[in-house]
Amino acid sequence: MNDEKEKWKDQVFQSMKGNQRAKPRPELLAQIEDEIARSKTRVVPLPNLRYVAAAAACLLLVNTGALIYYHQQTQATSENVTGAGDYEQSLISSYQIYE
Amino acid sequence: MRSEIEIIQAIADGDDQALTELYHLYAEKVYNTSLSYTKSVEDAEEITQDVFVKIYKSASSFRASSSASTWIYRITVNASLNRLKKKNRFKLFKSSLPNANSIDFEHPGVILENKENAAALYKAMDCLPNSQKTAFILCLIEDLPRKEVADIMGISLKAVESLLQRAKKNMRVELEKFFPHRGKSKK
Repeated sequence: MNDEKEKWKDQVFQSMKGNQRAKPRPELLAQIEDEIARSKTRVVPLPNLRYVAAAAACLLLVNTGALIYYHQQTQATSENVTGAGDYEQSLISSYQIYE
Repeated sequence: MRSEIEIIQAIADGDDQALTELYHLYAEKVYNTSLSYTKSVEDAEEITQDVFVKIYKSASSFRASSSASTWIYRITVNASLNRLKKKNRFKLFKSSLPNANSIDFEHPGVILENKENAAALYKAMDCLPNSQKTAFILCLIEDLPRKEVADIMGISLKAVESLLQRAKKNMRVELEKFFPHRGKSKK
């Protein structure tokens, strides 16, 4: 009886021999091609990323420069405006224009 | 006609036609190997897809130090084992469902007279650790030469034989457990 059982187990081990191979769905190849095409568009190569980083740094630098320039200009204008005010004030307070 | 290595080099150069060529050569092998691991048609298809996408992406790193077949089988085995690992993470939840592990897998390619034995084989294979399972699948189901199995697994020929013997021994015990009355003569 044990021999028969062992024989059956050997048959179980050999049960996949001589069988047909299972076939994947025919659409699988198209699916793989789609996935590859999708991954191609998704990938941003490293050199391109470097250009993006350089452009962003330039933009930041220009903007910072512009802000500093604007700030300085604003200060200068307000000083000028104060001076003009004084001048106008003296003009208004002194009525002897034709001295 | 191009050799397999030439096809992989063409894939590395961005030749989409070469991928189709390689697919027709290896899709069934990849699909059947992953089916033996996962016992699920859906999982096997997803693994096949992952394997060919991986081949496409890493074709340029293929150095031809091993054969194309060895390389592709190695990717397939790794992808299948990763899938099993992911599935096992959810095993805790699944085991609470009734009869979650009692469903017998029927391999779609098995001929009718072998169906019962093949189902027993796949059921008994569940008990094996990954290395024994890989040796068993590649040697006895995929019917690959032992030398190629050794190359795929990155171990010696002797180690493959040892894994195979241990796998069979463990599976004999499992078969006895699941089917205690099988193999008895009918009186």
